[in-house]
Amino acid sequence: MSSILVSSNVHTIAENVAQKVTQQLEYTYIGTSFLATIANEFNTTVDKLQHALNWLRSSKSVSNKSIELNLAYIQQAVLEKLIHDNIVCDGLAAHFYARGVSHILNVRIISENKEIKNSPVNDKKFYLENIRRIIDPINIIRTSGFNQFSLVDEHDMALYDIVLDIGKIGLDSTINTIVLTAKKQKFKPMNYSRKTLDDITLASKFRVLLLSRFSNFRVSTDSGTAIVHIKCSKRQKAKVAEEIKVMANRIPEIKFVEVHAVTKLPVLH
Amino acid sequence: MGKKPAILILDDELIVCKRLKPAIEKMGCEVETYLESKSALKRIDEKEFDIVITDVRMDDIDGIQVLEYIRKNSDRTIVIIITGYAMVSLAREAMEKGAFDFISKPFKPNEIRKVILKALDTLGIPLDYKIENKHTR
Repeated sequence: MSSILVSSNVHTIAENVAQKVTQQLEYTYIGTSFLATIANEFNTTVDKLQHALNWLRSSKSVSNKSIELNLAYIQQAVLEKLIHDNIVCDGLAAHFYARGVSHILNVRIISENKEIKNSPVNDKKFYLENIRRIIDPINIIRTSGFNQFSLVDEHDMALYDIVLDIGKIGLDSTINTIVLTAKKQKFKPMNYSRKTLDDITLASKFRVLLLSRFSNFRVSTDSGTAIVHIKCSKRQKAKVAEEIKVMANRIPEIKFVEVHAVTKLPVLH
Repeated sequence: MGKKPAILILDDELIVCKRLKPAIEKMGCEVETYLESKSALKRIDEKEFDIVITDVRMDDIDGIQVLEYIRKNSDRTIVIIITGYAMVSLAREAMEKGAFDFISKPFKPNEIRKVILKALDTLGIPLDYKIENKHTR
């Protein structure tokens, strides 16, 4: 069966809906209480993890290494949970990084136009920021600290499979719609979607490892091959590539590593 | 000895048919391959296959249309979609229309063997074939 991500501009609404959907489907729920487990596993604190999540939902001013690292911890931990199917997740920004997996149902709950009223699109500063993104994407990526989610706007409704206005249809209809949709054949896990999830999970694991030593890189994986784009000079490339390959040896699922030295990092969408 | 499971492969790339046929025959299945949809559908009308493995992007009749045709005419035949143009929307469409599984190319022979074994299990004709795991580094 599908896994379900629930998000909202109002956290308590998403949490309430997610927990009720979990009960109806008899799935496993993961929410913000999971941050304690993540903090323990990665030797960080719940405060730092929460701070990283708050940054992700903000207008994304310059990030720093701590934010990058703590987001990477959350990403790895949540993706490793999602591999198990039948999960309902909220409060952990999974809609930013668990994308492109056809058996994951991505739900956005909006509440009585609060989404629109509170949307940073109505904020002049955000508006100007976004104009800058179109005009000067390289500078935007630089100032945002190369964070891989810099260009993901959670207020873009195209990001979601379903968008429900709970103020207009009520809680029961919201839950019923999610439950019925999740049961549809199209959200059944398949070879392709499992592989996609495996690939992004493995990439997240490698990312955490690489962040201990590097910044300014992108990593993706495909069936055990890791592809790393890293900002460095051609002169440094051999040494950097060797270091990265040695680090990859610590993850048995990674069979091959390609390292590309770049002057400009590819943008992930 | 029981009847061998009958599998039809439809893909307009000759290399795919050439590689898949022996890989699946090795499991103990009877395999027929077709490079174009019309002749494959004609054959499907003549014989009920246990599994049809079909590509999506082909000239004339595409794999989704093949899937729809099979679903309309057979409750039993399992359809596995393979494609080099995997996208979330296509995957979901295929599953909604009754595909058993959806596999993106390129894939290793063992990947499709696992899906075939699962499909045959679903049909109640389990195959005695063990998939070897090879680790490479």
